[in-house]
Amino acid sequence: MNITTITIGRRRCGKRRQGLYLEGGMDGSPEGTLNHFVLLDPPIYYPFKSRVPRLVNGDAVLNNLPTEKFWVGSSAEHEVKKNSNAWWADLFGMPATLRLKIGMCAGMTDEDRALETIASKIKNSGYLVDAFRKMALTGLDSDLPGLYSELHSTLISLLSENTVANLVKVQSIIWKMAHRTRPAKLETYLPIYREFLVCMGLYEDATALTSHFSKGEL
Amino acid sequence: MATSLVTVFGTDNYELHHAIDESYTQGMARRVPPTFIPEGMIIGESKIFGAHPHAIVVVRATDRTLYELAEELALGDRGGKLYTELYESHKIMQEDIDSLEAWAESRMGESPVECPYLMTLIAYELSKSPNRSELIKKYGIEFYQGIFGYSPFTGFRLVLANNVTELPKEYEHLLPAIEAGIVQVSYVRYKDEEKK
Repeated sequence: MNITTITIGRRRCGKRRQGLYLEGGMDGSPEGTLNHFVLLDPPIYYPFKSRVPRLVNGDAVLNNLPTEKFWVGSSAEHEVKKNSNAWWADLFGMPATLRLKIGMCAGMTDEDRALETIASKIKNSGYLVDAFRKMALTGLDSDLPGLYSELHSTLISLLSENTVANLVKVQSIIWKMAHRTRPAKLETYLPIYREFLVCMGLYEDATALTSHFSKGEL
Repeated sequence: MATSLVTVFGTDNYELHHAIDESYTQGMARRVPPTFIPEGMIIGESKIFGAHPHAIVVVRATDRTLYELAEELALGDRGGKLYTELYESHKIMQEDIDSLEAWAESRMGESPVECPYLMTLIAYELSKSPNRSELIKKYGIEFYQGIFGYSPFTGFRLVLANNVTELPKEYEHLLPAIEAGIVQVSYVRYKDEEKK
């Protein structure tokens, strides 16, 4: 193994530690064809806060294409995964990783199987409207206004369209509400959230909701 | 198509002008995990793009414009690049001025956002201005992150601590890439240490 010694200027971020580095513009090139650096003016809007280096298609960046066209390789895979994680989280009302650990989906290894299980067990007992009436008396509409109105409109849809998709949405909103409820208010709202899940035949989830939130684990 | 990479400069160590000045003199280097050898990185073709959270400046004060800010910055640094662009090179045209004026009103509504010409220089001058805080207040400035430039990719380098003579275990998987010349292995010395 040939080990060279390079002499470089000190950077503001400090000395180089042992490790792998990607280098750009080091020493230019002997023929002068490579610059150390090319200034882009105007700059290109890049709204991603992560400090992790991201792989991109340089032409897409330089042509200022929409940012979703930037990604290549593992960064593109990461974007797909991120979108898919957000999709599952919206569907379950919690991150998929958590969904696979608790309640009726505990121990499952994939999201599709978890969704199948929820869809096969979920039902409309006809008491959801009663549960919602109880909720309306608690003042939750001012504590979680966005989720409250989403639940309200989903229940209205459910009255006209009694579909599994609508029921899955209701259970997702209930979990989201539980996550967003302030600890001081949990004692009031938890029994109502549980009642919703019981009304939908999700008994294991109702138990899981109580035990997890009571322990303050979620 | 060669794969390129974007690295974000943190404001802890780098104001925008530090990032640009350092990139001009030394290029860019980014420490990456030992397993990070992406496919498609081609020397000379791939680029390392540098992004900074303060590369895009938006004037929010309703009674001021970006062009006024540019003028104030230029006059504060006569002989600077922005001064040259605005007053000496005659490269800036009326439509550029209009574009700078319009930008202040656009309020970043569109995405992707197309910044006007001179934005990088304005942000650069603002970052090194001694009156930076006052100007930020006066013009109601908000910053947005942007890619301010790139260095052509020149290769991977495994830096070893000076007392290490064998390839450390955690980098053994790089041996084929080292033997193929894709990864250079080096000790590092610093110019200022050499002078001493």
